[in-house]
Amino acid sequence: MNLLVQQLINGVIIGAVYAVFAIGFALAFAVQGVLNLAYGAYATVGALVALWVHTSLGLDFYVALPLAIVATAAMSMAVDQVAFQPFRQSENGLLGPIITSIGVLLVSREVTRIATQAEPKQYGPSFFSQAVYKVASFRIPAAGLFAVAVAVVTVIGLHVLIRKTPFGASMRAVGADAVSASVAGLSPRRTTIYTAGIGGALAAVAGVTAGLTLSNVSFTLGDSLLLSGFAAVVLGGFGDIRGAFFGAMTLGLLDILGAQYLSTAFRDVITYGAVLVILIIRPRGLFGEVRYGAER
Amino acid sequence: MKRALVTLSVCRYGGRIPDPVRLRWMRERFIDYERGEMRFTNVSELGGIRAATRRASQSDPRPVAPRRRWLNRTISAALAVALAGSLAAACSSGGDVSGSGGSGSGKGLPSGTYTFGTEALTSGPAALAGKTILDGMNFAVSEINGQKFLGDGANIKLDTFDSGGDPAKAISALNQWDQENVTGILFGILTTVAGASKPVLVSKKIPSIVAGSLLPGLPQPPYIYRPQILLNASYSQLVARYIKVKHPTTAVTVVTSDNDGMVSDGKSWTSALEQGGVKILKSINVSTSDTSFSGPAASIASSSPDVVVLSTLGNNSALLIKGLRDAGYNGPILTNYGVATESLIKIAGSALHDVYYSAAYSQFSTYPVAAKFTAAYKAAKGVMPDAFVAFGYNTVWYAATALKASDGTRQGLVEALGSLKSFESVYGALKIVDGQAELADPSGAQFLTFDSSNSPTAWTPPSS
Repeated sequence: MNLLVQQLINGVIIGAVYAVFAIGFALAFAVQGVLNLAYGAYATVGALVALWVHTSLGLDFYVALPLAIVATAAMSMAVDQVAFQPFRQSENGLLGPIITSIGVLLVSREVTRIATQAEPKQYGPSFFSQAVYKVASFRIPAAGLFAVAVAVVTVIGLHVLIRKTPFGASMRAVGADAVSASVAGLSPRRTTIYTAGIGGALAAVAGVTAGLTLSNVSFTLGDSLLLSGFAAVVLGGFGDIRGAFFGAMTLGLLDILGAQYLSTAFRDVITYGAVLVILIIRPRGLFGEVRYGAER
Repeated sequence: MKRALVTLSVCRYGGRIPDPVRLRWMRERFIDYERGEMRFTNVSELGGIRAATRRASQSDPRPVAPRRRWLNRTISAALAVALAGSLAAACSSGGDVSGSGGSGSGKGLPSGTYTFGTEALTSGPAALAGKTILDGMNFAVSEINGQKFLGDGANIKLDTFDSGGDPAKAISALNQWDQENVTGILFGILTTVAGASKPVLVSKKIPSIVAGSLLPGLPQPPYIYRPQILLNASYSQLVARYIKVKHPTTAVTVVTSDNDGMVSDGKSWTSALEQGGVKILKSINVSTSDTSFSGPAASIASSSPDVVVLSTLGNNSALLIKGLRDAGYNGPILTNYGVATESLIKIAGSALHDVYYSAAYSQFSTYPVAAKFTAAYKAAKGVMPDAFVAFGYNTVWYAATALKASDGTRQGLVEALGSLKSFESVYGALKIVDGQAELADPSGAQFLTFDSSNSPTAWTPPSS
């Protein structure tokens, strides 16, 4: 029983890391209209910027994280305007931006590989506490608590932003139909740029959180996040951040519990097999495809 | 003209070109063709535009159902992720790597530059090992040419290509090198690439030397040789010595299951443990790309084994060791030398206390070739070489030693490699048996642990 609870805790922590990433990924997909496969690279860049700020400039976590967020948000907005906006203007469908995003992914991957000299790194205790708290007989790392807190704050904060603010309304409108939104006086381009910035910021937070939780910052950090984040979004349903959140949590728990109680050899088969079964039963994911602008 | 006006108008108002259905609907309802503008100016009139657009869409003779659209998008997205995954995999996959000096006087090697096609691995998750191996190779080349080891006017050169761990790219490079008529090839850092390259090299009869892969059965004389020693025997020795000192009765093993070398090593570890009377409580599989080990660590800690044995790649080992300590397991851990690289030692930190491993080469080796290599590398680079640097260094010195004994042709190198039955390496004196290097003194493997500052240090348990 103790092991089950401990593994549930581990699953929630991993799910929380996936969740922040998946929420940003889903948001970008819904509003920007781009399946951005370079999104994992944003997380890597965010994690590495925070590491560089800490190790090279000597600044602590509370400065490094905001700087990483700003840098990654700026990167995300620049990439959106340079690589994706032309496709949106010409309405060339999904494929063009996907191929472009793969190009961005490969370029980012090579740049980060050179920057890190392909060496895995870690933040270290001077950046963030490496304490492991013991509650009853359960062990909870400080980084894990941080990951869960960030995920909860992110999902609530974004939900409020999207549902309760004028900017959120414009995000929903642009996500639903950019043409109609523009005719109604909104600026889809401005909304898209800001959303790209928010997406980049979330990627940075996800990257730093993953680096803290996994004790590993490398140029491949974003790769596994991308696959897991995408699976979480599909599982939860495109277009709803709650879906992405619960999809990620489900994925994290499946990952840990499948390996513990079924087979470590077929861990990914179990995890993604379960995702497949859920999608067969609910093809639109746990929360269905709820477009941000759809009236319900 | 009408179409142009429509497009201009719509772009002016929407910034996007609408799909044909919406275009037709807007044309019918809102476009003033004479003026090329929208018919209305009051935005509030557009309150129902989206609903109207939907109605227009529903009247399209070939409507796309929302469900179909969702499915199309999901399928496109899944295909895209699969494509991205393939591209990422091209830069990744599993890696395994576990060194040399030579001397001799060759006859008949004409002056000139002898090029070896060299498969590097400087990208992908195993790039850390690949980069370090290449560093060792380049250091050996600088020594060989600097010492005029091959004779006056004869130099060795590496033509490197980063396969990224992609067998297809690696084979393409092999074909290119064959056409360029390189003298020989240094290949196979990853087991996947090594396994795929072997039949190509044998069919083209290119003399080749394995640069790192521990894939079982890889050497195939007269064309493929592996001057690295397999450490399976040393694992048995390490286990036997550990059992003698600590008397463990239970163990948990962890294996990087998508790496043939680690799987093979895992069998050796298991066999040694069972022979020593240690009960294997469970065996856990991890994969090369895994970075999250909280689950396996909690599972192992809950079993409370007397010892944990890791037959895992270096990155796996470092993260798992840290995860085990965080999960409350503070017992001993036996593993391979993969964890003993500078960056991984930093990651694992104090968690390396009570970790033991065997290595063919270590900086503490007093064997003359090894000691000379260690001192020279330290003097040149300012840091101590690790086992991966030794890997690359040993590979190139082995190639150069055979080359020096040849006439400089491929066939000559094939014959020289076949005649090379012993080799003075950084591991110690080697004998070459069926293309595979073995320690002339089987007890020559070294056993190491980590000191209080997390630096590798020799572990000298009582001999069994």
